[in-house]
Amino acid sequence: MKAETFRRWMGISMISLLGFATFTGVMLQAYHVPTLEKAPHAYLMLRTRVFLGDAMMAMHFWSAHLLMALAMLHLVETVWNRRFRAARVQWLVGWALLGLLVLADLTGHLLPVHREGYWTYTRSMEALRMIPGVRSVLGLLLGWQEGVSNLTYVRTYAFHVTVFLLLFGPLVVWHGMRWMKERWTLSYRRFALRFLEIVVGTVAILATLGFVLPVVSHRLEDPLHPPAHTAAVWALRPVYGLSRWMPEGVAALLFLLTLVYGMLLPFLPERAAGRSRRTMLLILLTLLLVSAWLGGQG
Amino acid sequence: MNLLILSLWLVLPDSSCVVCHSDLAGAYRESIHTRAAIGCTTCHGGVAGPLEENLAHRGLRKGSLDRLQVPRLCGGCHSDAEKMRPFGLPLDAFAYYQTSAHGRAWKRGQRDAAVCTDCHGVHEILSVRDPRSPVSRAHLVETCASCHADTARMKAFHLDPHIPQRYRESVHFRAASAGNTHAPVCTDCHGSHGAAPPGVRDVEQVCGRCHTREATAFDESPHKTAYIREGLAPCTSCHGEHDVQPLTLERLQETCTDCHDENDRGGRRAKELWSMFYETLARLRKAETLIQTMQDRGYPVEDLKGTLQDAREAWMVALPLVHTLNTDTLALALGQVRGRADDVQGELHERANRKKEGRVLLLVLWFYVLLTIGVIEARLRAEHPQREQML
Repeated sequence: MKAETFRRWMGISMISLLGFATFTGVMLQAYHVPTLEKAPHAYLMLRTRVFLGDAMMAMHFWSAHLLMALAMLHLVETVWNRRFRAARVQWLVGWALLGLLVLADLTGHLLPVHREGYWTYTRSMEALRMIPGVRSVLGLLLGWQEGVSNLTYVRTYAFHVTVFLLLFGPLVVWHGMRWMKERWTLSYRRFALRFLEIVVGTVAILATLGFVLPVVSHRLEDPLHPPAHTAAVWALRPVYGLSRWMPEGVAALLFLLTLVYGMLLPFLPERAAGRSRRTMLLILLTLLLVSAWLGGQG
Repeated sequence: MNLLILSLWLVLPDSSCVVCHSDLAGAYRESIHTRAAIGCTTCHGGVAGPLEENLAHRGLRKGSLDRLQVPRLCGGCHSDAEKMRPFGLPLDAFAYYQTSAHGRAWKRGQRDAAVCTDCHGVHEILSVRDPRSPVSRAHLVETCASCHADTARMKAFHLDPHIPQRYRESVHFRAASAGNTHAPVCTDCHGSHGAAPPGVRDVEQVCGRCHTREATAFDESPHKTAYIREGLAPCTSCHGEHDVQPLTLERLQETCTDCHDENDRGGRRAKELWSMFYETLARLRKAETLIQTMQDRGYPVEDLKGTLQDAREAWMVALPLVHTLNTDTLALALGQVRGRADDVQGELHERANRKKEGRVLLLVLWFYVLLTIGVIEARLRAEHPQREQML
């Protein structure tokens, strides 16, 4: 498979996953009760009493996870092939989309108020508050003080179902249109047929995951049987792994600096960006995997 | 050492005694009597203050207090309302003691009879609420066993020295060892100061103090009158005395046939009861297994755990009713258990069926997806076979 075909396949898959996550999300919204007290019961009712509710929940879950995995693969592929230098604005928009995706993922974890999600959200918010200036922003946007209040929950819900979607839409269209403008090689008809092919394939894969595999780790909090260990979702584990090596404030700052460095990569002179970037990327990936493994340990 | 004695002299009541009797100072310092400012002279006589032996020992009760003097000496204060009022202690300990098997032996002048200090300690007497005390619930069995497991000592009283060991095999001891502070220890059945074995007619009352529902159910049973008529001890006949065991389903029929013939009325009723319990328990266990299996497979079962808990509670309510031997009463109570267990099973089966239906839908979906992809591929290849290389 040629690189451009792979990219096209990946882009269309991500768009269909995003579309599918939105569709299932809208369906789930019909049954969700966005208050801290009632959300767990609504979640349980959705999974046990609503026709195809469990499958819908599982498909939403898997589409979000697959989307995150593909976005990371896309980032690695872009860096590996040094494509960021030729499309600097695309690179920045890509970063913004990745950031939105992480935030959407994070806020989505809180909504059912299950054990792992609640823990992940709370710990992430605490870590984010370590970054200078973020504390007041979180307080202002989410009403976050010392924990998840009803106000924080409702605002998190609003961000997850509305604000992020509104931001996603124009950015995805811009990202896709720009790519089509630069790399367009197919007729619209052929593209539409390929698009349809990938969308139906993605739907089939998601439906299979939704019907066959359960929503992993979604257990409601049981105060009488607390878990021996709770780990964050896989995508956030490297950050938690890092926070075990160093103080949380330092980890948060390092994370912020890596983020800024990554965003500014195409704008740095070739020498400053490093010559053997592929070796650097391999080292970074290994470090991330080790940190992720550490972050998941008890 | 001298500094320690000097400091104790300053804090202990009658502290002049510990200047010479320093070996007792450590134990006495921890005692509840020290906290109540009761000094050595209260029990031993003598004069507090002077450091010369002749002056300090004036009016001293000679030698150590004799074992046989102890109950009356302790009872002297512990029966005095004025003295006990600040501490809220009962005044009947000595009176009860005299009615006990221990007290009766003491009255007969038997030197091996248990006196206050055998259980409470001598100088290091601690509050009964202090977990270090030998009469606290945590240590009481060991304290009683220190005499009651002593073969030589028990021989004099014609008592079985294996009783403490048998208690350690009981369900009561298992519960106590597991940290259940409500599990009975020796004094709960025998009494503390008035310790005496309950008589045959008292057993039901003694057991019924904790097992109220069992006792009420037993009152309704035909066993009640039969036991009184035959002079049998109600509870212990089936459950054992010190090695008390619950009557499990495995042991139910076997125990009943100790007295009943398999084919007489009692034997048939035992079989009937056994099958009722067995069938209900099987359904409850099946629901438990099913819920665990479904949870392991990732199905949401949190809502059904509540129903399962209701079934378990209904089972606990139904269990004591076996003492009525009334199948109608029992059928009603066990029906509650079966109903809830069936609810759980039914709901889980329904969920599993829904999952199966979903998988059928999935097959249909895959058929159409593959068909769509096949049609698209065929059209694309038919239109531009050479350009497919690009994709």
